[in-house]
Amino acid sequence: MKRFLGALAIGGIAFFVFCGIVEYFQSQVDNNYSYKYWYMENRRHKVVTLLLGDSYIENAINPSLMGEGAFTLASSSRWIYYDDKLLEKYIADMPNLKQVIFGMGYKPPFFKSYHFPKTDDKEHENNEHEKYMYEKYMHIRYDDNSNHWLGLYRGFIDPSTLIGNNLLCDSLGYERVDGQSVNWQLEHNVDSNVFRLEYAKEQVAEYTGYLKDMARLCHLHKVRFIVITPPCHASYIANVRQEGLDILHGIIDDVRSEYPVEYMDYLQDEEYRADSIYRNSSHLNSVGADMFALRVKKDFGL
Amino acid sequence: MLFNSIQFAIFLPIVFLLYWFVFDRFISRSKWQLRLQNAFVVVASYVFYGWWDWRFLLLIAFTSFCSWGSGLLIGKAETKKKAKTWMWLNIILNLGILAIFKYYDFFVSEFAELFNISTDGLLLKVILPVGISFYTFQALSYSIDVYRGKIESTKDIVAFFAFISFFPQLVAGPIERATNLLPQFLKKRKFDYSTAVDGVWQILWGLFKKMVIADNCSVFVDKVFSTYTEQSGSTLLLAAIFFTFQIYGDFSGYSDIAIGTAKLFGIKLMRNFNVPYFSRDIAEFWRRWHISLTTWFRDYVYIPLGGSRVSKAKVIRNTFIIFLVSGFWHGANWTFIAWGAYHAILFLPLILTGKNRKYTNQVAEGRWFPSLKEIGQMFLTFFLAVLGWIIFRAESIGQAWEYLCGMMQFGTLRAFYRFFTLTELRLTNLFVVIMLVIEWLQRNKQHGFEGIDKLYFLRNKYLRPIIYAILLILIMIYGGKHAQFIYFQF
Repeated sequence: MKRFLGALAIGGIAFFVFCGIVEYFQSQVDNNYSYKYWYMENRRHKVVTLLLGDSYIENAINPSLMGEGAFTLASSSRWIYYDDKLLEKYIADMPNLKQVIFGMGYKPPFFKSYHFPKTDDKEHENNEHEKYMYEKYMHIRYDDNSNHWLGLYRGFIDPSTLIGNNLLCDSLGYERVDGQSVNWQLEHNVDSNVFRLEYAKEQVAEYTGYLKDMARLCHLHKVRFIVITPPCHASYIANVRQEGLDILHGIIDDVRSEYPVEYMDYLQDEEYRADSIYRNSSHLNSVGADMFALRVKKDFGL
Repeated sequence: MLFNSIQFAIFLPIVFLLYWFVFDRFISRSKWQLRLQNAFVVVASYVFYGWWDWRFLLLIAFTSFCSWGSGLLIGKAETKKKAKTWMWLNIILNLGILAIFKYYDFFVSEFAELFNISTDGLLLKVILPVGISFYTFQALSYSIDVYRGKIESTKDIVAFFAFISFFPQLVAGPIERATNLLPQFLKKRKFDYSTAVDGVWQILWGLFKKMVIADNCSVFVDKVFSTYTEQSGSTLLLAAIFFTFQIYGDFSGYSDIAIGTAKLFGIKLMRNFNVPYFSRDIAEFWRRWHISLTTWFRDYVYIPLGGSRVSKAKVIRNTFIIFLVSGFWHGANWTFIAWGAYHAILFLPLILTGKNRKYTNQVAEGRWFPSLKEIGQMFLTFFLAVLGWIIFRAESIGQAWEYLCGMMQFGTLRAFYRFFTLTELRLTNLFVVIMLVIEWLQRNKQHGFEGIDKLYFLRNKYLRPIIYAILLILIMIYGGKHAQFIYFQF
């Protein structure tokens, strides 16, 4: 028995040492999250225009066309919670910051159900992965007791990314996407699951709370808070419901009742009808991103 | 509690240490030692089981108590007729419970649909207790074996409860026989170093099959089966092949973890899988797949019906009964019954021509490689099993039929080429090949890692546990996302 327990003890120690090594190597991998974290930690003083939000903004605005000091801190699949936490963390120490541009797509206020157990497994898994990435690479916990940084335990270690470079964005945080996907009109389209009124009420209240907090932080630090709804392709708009749009605009009205917010809805803008500017039904490609960056710059006088 | 969960990783060492150090060593002089150790097994097993839903502990306790009581009554019965009555009462009770929880809603729904009646207020809509089919059959085997005189009834209720609820095999088998497992709870267990080491290797092998093979295969399989109408024939065949490996990795992986865990407690469980995909015909496949269930049906259903020593017509009847019941055991769905019928049809020619026991040895015995004929036989048997798994995996007979029709395309055979080239499967195909190679090399052993510590670099007592740790880490890294064990639903 002693011999067996001795072997298990050695194995146990070795196991935890190897776990530590794997976690360390994984945390050293370059990716969009680690780069954006590094940039904000080291270059935030240079930022004049900060872009926040999810892929609707990350891929839809080319920051190099937004004037000096623009940086995209937006990241795909991001829930607004992280935008609020990132802004809260850095805004007090960004002396040159003039405006924060936040992208509010049609889906996110209803869709990113971090709390709701009824969401499907795939959605839940994506959310868990997001929590892991933010904890591991941007050092933002979802809550005080969260231990999502343990990638091995969570099953989020991707062997192909254990060592190496997975950085996809440029030096301004922009992830350029050229061309179109196969079946691009179907990809990322609004499906019947997106707009679920049974979740919407609670979800929208939470979303509004975070948006309001971002507006409050901007107001407190005398920074313009600009919210935009990026354009989508006609195939996407065909499935958009007026009920959803009313809720979306209601969120802005609610925030505006307490803090100043500049808002522009480009969702159905006639200028963005061409197929060639879309990567898929709801995301602009690099051609569209150039167009849209110049438009936003002009509309808001940046 | 799942074997591949952090809860079990904490639970197992605690139970192991208490089992050997508190309930074996410190109270070893007490005459109550064995009983206390068995009581601890029951408590640990109930914690393990209650982790899902504590309410069903009452059910398993009730089943255990009734089966134990029936055993005593059978043993004490003055006449054979009385003993038979007690045995049948226990069978009816156990199967009745199983029927209520597993089959009642199915029959009511089917009956209502047939006669166009509303099911309002008729359905129970109860959750299926995890592992109910497994422990019910285990309990049944006890009372039948006591009646047949194969085993004496036991007065030791604690040992009996431990036999029914022993946590490694409680929820997904192997379905143990009282003749094998119960006597092990009636005598003092001894810790054996080499058995325990072998147990750890078997657990690792089981984790590899579950986490690396089954969980990775499931990603592709689930995706294709949920969109099967949009997929090409070769993709459908590929998904069916991967499901064939998924269900094997999932279920045999569970069995290996269960058997390996039991070894740590000085308990020997029966083998449940014996490289089934190296079978040369479907009869051999069924001697190697889910052995504990197959032999259960053979001993308690097929042989009492006359087995193969009756007229041809009755042999056909018996074969169909055993396969249909076996299919239905898996769940209340026509797909399982169709799956059973499909295998009965495949089995029938062999049993009628007396060739069902043609291959009782291991394939290519004493040789490194199989002959061309054996390769062809194994390939054909595997392919027949793949077709069967499509029926098993489908949600309805209609879906299975559409899936099979979808496969009937000219380009379907490209699946075998795509098995090695489809980037979406990433490393899964490589792991499947690794598993098959290891199983081939170890086909005469109990599991893929048996005897592996005899290798030169694994003989070192310090290096060996480090290899354990590295293997475990690799399994965790290359493992798919945590997925429930498929057989838990049965």
